[in-house]
Amino acid sequence: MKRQSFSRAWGTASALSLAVALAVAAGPASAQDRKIVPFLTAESSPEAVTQLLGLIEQFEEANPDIGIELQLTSNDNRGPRIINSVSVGDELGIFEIERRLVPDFTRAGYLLPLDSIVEEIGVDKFIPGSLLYWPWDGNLYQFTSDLSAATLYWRKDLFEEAGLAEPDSYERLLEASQKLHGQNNVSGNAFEASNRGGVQRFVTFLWQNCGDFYTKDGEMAFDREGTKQAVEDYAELNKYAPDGSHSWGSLDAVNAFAAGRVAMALFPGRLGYQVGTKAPDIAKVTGNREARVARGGEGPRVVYGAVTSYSIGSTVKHPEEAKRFLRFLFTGKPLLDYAMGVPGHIAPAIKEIQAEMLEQDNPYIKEHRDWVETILEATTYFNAEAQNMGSITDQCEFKKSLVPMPWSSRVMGREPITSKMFQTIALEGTPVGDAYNAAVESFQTEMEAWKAENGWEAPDPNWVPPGMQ
Amino acid sequence: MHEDGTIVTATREDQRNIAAPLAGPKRKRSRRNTGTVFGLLMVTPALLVLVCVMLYPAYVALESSFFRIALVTREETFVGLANYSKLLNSPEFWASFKRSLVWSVGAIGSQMVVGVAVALVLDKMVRGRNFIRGLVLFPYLVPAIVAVLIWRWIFSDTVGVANWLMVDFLGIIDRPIPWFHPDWVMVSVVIMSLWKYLPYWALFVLARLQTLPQELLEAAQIDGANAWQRFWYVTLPWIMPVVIVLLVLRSIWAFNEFDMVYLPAGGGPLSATTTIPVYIRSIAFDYGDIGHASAIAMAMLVMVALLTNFYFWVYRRAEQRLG
Amino acid sequence: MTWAFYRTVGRYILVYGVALIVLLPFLWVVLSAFKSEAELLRYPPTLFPETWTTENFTLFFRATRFHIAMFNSGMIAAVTTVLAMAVAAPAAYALARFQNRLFESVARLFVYTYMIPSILLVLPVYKIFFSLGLANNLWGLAPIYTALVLPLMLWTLRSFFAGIPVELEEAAMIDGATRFQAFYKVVLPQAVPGMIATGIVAVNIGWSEYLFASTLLTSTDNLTISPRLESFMGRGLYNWGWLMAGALAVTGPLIVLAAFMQRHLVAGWGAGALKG
Repeated sequence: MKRQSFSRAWGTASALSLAVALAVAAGPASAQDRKIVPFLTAESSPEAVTQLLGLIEQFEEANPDIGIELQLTSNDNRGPRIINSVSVGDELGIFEIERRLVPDFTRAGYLLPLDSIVEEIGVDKFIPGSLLYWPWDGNLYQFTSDLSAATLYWRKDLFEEAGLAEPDSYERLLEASQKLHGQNNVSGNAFEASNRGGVQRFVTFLWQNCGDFYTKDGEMAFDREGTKQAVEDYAELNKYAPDGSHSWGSLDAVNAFAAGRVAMALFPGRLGYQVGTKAPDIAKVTGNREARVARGGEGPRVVYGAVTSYSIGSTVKHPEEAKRFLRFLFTGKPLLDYAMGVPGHIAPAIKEIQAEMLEQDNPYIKEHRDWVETILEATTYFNAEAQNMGSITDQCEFKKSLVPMPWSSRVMGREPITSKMFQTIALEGTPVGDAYNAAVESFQTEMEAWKAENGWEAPDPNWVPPGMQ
Repeated sequence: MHEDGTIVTATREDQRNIAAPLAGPKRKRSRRNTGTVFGLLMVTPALLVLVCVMLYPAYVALESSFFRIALVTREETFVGLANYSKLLNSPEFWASFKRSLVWSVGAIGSQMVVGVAVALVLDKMVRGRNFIRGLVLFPYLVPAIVAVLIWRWIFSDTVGVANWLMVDFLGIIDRPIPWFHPDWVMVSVVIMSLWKYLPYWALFVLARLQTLPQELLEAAQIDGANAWQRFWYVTLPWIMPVVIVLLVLRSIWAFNEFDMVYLPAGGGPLSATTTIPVYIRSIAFDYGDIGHASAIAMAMLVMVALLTNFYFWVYRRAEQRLG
Repeated sequence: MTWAFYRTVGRYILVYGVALIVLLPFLWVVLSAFKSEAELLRYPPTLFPETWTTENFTLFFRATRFHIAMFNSGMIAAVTTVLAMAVAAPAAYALARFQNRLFESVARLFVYTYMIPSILLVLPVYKIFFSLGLANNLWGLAPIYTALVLPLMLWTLRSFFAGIPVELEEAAMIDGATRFQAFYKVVLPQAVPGMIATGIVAVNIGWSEYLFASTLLTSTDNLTISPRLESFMGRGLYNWGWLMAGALAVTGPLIVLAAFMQRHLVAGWGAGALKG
């Protein structure tokens, strides 16, 4: 390369980079006169994000002095992201709080009370049990944006062909799994033993068999009789799940069903939406019903579900503005628009918005209105493992508890104890009884270790949260 | 340039010999002094970046390994060597260490063998050779997350093409391979990183092969050596310096690698892919014990340093033998 | 048909065959990017798209505004390369010319820092940059990336400089140039092939690095491509078709760059690889 042209090239490149760097550094200055509120969410499916961006624009137009800074993260990275911010002392604005962090954060005083938002709307407008009040002081530190609840999807065509009855009990689930497994590249069911699925699919079985993890006062419940039955049943059904399902990520069950590779799946509304929109041929022959998974279809009416909620960090620079945005986004028409981004998967917690959803002019809702109705109904009887500890009493009743499981990181973190249990049964051939006993011991040990390190006091057992009288 | 093709690099001896007639003794000394100053000035920016961005934070991390840090309240209590004794006594740590070894040996071994083989193939004289070489660089340029997602899709037991190809289409095997079974998952992970990094090896070795003088090979052929012997006695020693350098650098990389090991299966199933970096992440974010995690990272650093020293020793021996 | 002919044919099959095998997943991605989402979910999978469609690309870019992330990555890759080269070239030159104990230990120091696991550095670096007000600032990544690639660049550049005969600089200095001018005007132009070869490492890290980018950059519009991809994919996936489109969007520019530079690449690697 010629000497002169080289120097010229080098000089130009450096000058250019410097100029660009200076220009961009000077850029953000214009945005500094607005009050910026960070908004961290893991609801990053493109449809939901498109809705979010539109709603943010609406809000910013109506409130020109406020700017919302959208921060998207994946579900896996949400916890580390929040933890990093806290350990560095960064501002935490509105953020979708990781369920297992709530106890620590609340006790450390990192969250702002949000009762005022609910009071403005009226607590009876919400579905009972959808607002996560803090049992120790009765305040609300997490504002519910949406709910999700699991229902059972099954392939009506395959069932009909094999002469099987609708799966409304454990016996029928087992029969169908056995009969349909291995025919035409189809696996019996999608009852996976993956890290996440081993909890989210299993808990429906656990609770409908009168079992639970811990009681409301934080004592052992996994050693209850019903629990062992649930474990045995689920391990049996797991045999008919696809071979690689123990390594599944959060959406592999959905993909498997949409590709027509499993005959049944227990999953929240995301599955219905994906199948309905991406695999219409499969959707035509798919049924959706309430999940009844215990023997004879008996047991309390409860399924796995989750509350997505947002907290506001006490280090936020503009608390009033943050509250204003939160109230704007998750009530009224914005909430409806947000929920319509992925109907069924994002279910509003406000009753009238749910009713309005069903009347919307949306192809998915028009085609599968019965699915959405079933899912929305399930949001009235769902339970979450880390958020609602001890909801199943030893009298085998479902009384939704708002006591969060303080040590859920340890027992349901990266490698949940139940998932590990099912994996050793399926992959290492451990007898169910041995695996179950080992799990019971682990649940006990972790709870006692946490209590020893942190001290534990059960909340007032007679406290009833607002809206659940 | 010597006859056998090696390029002479100016040693200090040569520098002095060349400079001597041009500079008297007094000037020689001052020239060398200003030379050193000049050299140090040239190196200073690099050292500055290094100290500010790597060494100082590393020191901070080292410091935190002697404390117990409460995640949410950020309180720090000094615990001395407790974090270190905890990790040395924990079976999970040693299990992760073993997995790190298996992963490193598997990954580097396969990358080296296949990379060198591909280099040998791409060395052959065909038309469009340069184009092919550019194309083969593709896997290296794919970000880890994209590469892993692609391979997870290929290996998927429900929608994946790998098993369908081998079982239904080609019929080479009877039952689909359980790519994510604890016994197999490390193999899958090694395959993914093999695909991503073999271009790196191939192109370095290929470049070295370009400089291999044809006369040497021809001479060997005249002497009656067959293809394998030509490879073993001529080609291999020629590329050995490059291979060893890459071995050192890539081994360091393999031990520290997080993305390509974590993304496929999240450390599972049943911890089958939990190597040390993955273990550190779980300690830091699932258990919230930053102090302990820093201690493990420090321990890992020590091990890698020992390994590298071993490599340097081997390299010096090999260099002496090659002359 | 002579024996030589068969050998030539065999050689072509071998070379193109190996290339094909290495690129098979890539080809699979390219073909799949033009299939509709419904077709991608089918089992058994189809080889060629039944109907060729570009909807994956249009929907992907519209929904995720991925071009913003691509622009960010491009910017940081360029700035990192310039900065890293400006820092590494003089240092590598010095390390090549001065072979005494002092400089040897400096070279060794860089190798040892290469061993420090990134995961150890992430939180302290974040803390430091945050206190400097550089968190969530794209340009803050440039010095970090420079430090990450410095060891590699130093080692390889050092070999290239060692391969350039000292006589050239000596001649320039006799003509009255200072040592730095000799370096800048005489040696550097000679080392351009090697610099290009080394530069691609810096380009690659700026373009596709994940760990530091995802930790330091918080607002979505600042993200570079890897964290942006992770933010809506993580380990679950909403759209296979979009993954394919995203994969091509992410590697396309780099491939073009590499193909353009590849002549210099191979030559540069060759010269540097000699001294190891």
